[in-house]
Amino acid sequence: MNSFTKNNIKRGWILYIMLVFPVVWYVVFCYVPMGGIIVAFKDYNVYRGIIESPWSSEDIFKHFKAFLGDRYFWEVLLNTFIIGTVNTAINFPAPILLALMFNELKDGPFKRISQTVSYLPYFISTVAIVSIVIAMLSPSTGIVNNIIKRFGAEPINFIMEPKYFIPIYVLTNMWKNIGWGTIIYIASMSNVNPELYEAAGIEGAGRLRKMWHITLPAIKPTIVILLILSMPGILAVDFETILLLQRPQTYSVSDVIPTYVYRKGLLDSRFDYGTALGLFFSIVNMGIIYSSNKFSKKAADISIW
Amino acid sequence: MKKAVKVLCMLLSATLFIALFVGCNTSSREDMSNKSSDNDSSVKSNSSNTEQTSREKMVLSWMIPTQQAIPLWETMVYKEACEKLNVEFELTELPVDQHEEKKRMWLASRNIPDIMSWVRASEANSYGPAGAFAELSQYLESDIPNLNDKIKNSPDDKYQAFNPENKLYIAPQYLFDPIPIFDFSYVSNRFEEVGVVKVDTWDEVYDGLKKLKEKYPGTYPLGFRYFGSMSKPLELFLLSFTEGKAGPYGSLVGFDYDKKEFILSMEAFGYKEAIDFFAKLYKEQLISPEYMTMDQTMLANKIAKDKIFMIADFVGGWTGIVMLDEQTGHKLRPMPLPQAKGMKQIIGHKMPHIGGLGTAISGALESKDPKKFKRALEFINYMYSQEMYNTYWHHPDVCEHIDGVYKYKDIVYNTKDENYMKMRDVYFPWSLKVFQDSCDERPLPGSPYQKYVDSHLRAKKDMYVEYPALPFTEEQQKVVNELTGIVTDRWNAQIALFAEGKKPMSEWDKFVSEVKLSGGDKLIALYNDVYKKYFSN
Repeated sequence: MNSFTKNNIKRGWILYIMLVFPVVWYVVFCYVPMGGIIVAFKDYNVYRGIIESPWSSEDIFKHFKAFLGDRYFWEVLLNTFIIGTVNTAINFPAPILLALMFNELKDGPFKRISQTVSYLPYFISTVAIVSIVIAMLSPSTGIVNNIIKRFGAEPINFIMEPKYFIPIYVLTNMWKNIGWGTIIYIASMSNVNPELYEAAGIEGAGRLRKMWHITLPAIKPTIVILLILSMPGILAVDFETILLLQRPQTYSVSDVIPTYVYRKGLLDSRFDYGTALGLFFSIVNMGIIYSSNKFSKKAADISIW
Repeated sequence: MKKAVKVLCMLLSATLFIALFVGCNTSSREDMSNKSSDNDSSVKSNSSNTEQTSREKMVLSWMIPTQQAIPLWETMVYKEACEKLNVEFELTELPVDQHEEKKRMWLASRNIPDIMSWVRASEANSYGPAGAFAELSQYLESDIPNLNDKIKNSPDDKYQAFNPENKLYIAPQYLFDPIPIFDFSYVSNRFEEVGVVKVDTWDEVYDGLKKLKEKYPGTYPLGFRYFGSMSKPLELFLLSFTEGKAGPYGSLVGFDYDKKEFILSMEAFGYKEAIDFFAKLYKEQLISPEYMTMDQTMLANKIAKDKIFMIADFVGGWTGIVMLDEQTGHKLRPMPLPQAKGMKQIIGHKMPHIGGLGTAISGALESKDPKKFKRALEFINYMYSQEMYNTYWHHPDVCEHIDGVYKYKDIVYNTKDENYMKMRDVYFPWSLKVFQDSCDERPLPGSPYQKYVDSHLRAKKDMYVEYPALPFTEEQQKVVNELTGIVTDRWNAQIALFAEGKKPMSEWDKFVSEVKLSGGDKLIALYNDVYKKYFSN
């Protein structure tokens, strides 16, 4: 250990001791349990436990082959990919746009109230949000269908129609999360030097040009990093919202990997199968985030590592 | 000062860290309250009872789910059991949804309480042989004769609880005179208004629904509340159209009792016709489109406002349809299952006396503490006794014995009394049904539902059909679970489309073939192999 490091430790030894506690917590509760992935290769019995449960009979990759050979799994994977991609494509830029709009507002009560109102749905439970959505879309009493009926059209049973599932899911997510998502962008925008805006104004730039040439480039690193981190979200769709919104009529589009794992792994008590699924997707997600990071490094010279 | 701040921060971190570890390692047995002192008081108050045993008092840990508003130790049966057996219980009472998770956690950590209630037979047969639960068949005659008598009286139902090697790892629920409790109800006077007095057949029901739609445009005469899947709305149609061969409760494995073989339920004669009929009702807007989103409150409002005139719901006991009936202004009347054209009329499946749920005793208790184990067996024996049954279902505070018939007092039916739920829970705690469940629990005397239960559901025994319970080994059960999951996925993905007429019935055969190929055939073959092994004479 060189003298610089020794001096550092000597000066800040209390800080290092403080650091020991969360690191140990992290190792014990986050890394040690990773050993449980061997359940994916076993015929797991809850009572026998991880160690005493026998390895999968015939083939330790039995569970992986089971779901990879199940045609329904690929349909579910496709649903997940479609929903995740549409959700990311719409709900990733939405907070950026809202943050840009908030940034254009003059400081005052209206700005503060607007921001507060936009954050509020984030703190309401998903169950309540989905109940409100279902009530609003009810064909008999919902506000949306009441408006439709006023125009002389037949009411639509939105919740039961597969073609409306993805828009409902995306918009519900947007309603819940858009306000919260603006926080980090607004924080980044607040670091932009106001003199840049003044200078641009003198040069004749309007609001949109200022946004395009000053604000957006300033928050570009934040956008790119958040984009990389959101990539695994393509396969990790919001389980709770989907489970509450889905109905048998919409399974063809709404059955996704998390609900599939929930059914197979938890409800059917097939923990070994569920672990195999989880492991598979963890590896896939790791690949996605690695590729996104590498691509971002090459394209924009911005990366997480 | 700077050093003091650093030290303070360090202490704070250490406290947080220790608290996290301590929190994770606290005893997994959660005592809901100080049971010892309360049990002591209940025992002390009866200390003058000459029947109280002078045996050593024992403490047993007991895990049981609850739906009650009061703790189990405030109930009559519990107090009597503690007094008779001189036991105290360290109770872990959890809501039903938390109970399942907790049960799995304790099994995984091998920290099983002495007694664990509401264990499924499949779980017991899976974990029991590994040592989680004590094997009880060897004790049936000597230590739990009350349960033994009940099992002997219902030999056909034994495989609800016994495993293929005739081992018993749970003391199973015993059901007295069980009846199906999910049925149709309708607003009879509205049907009569449109000239439909009899609703014995589907043609008559259909006629009534059509005429009601014409008379009350903008309504959907038949409605359901959301039950979580398509099984419940379709259940009674399938029962009727297939004469019960499609299996109970919307099962995907049916039983052809004429040929004595299991079949894929969607291959049962009449299944396709049932789905087609449902689709017809849906397309003609006779079924509410909100049948997969409506809750009970919304349903009750629609019935009260004459928007819905026929429903399917639970009709047993004091809750279910009785509460719905109250909420809707007593408009509803029970409707016996209509008869499909060309099919015989049935009511449902013969309900077994032995249930697939029960109470298990810890395997560790058997080996490590024989005295406590014996006491646990005595407790189980007591819970299947006539004495316990009388305390539970015929307590003199709420029940009178007049002219040889038990009749509940008015207090039991007074749902408007603010203390009603508490009174019910003191005398009829839901969680203890896991021992002896009675169908003495009945709707209001003289009400249409009580007459229906007595004169139809109980009286017409010849209109029930059989559905054997099979004993699967642990390996077979895994295969059954896997294949059932695959078949269910296929069924769930398509059935709603057929049932709402969005997919033509011409594609039905293709759908059935797909289900068979994806695992349905293997599933039925396994069922029939096991059936032939244990039931062929």
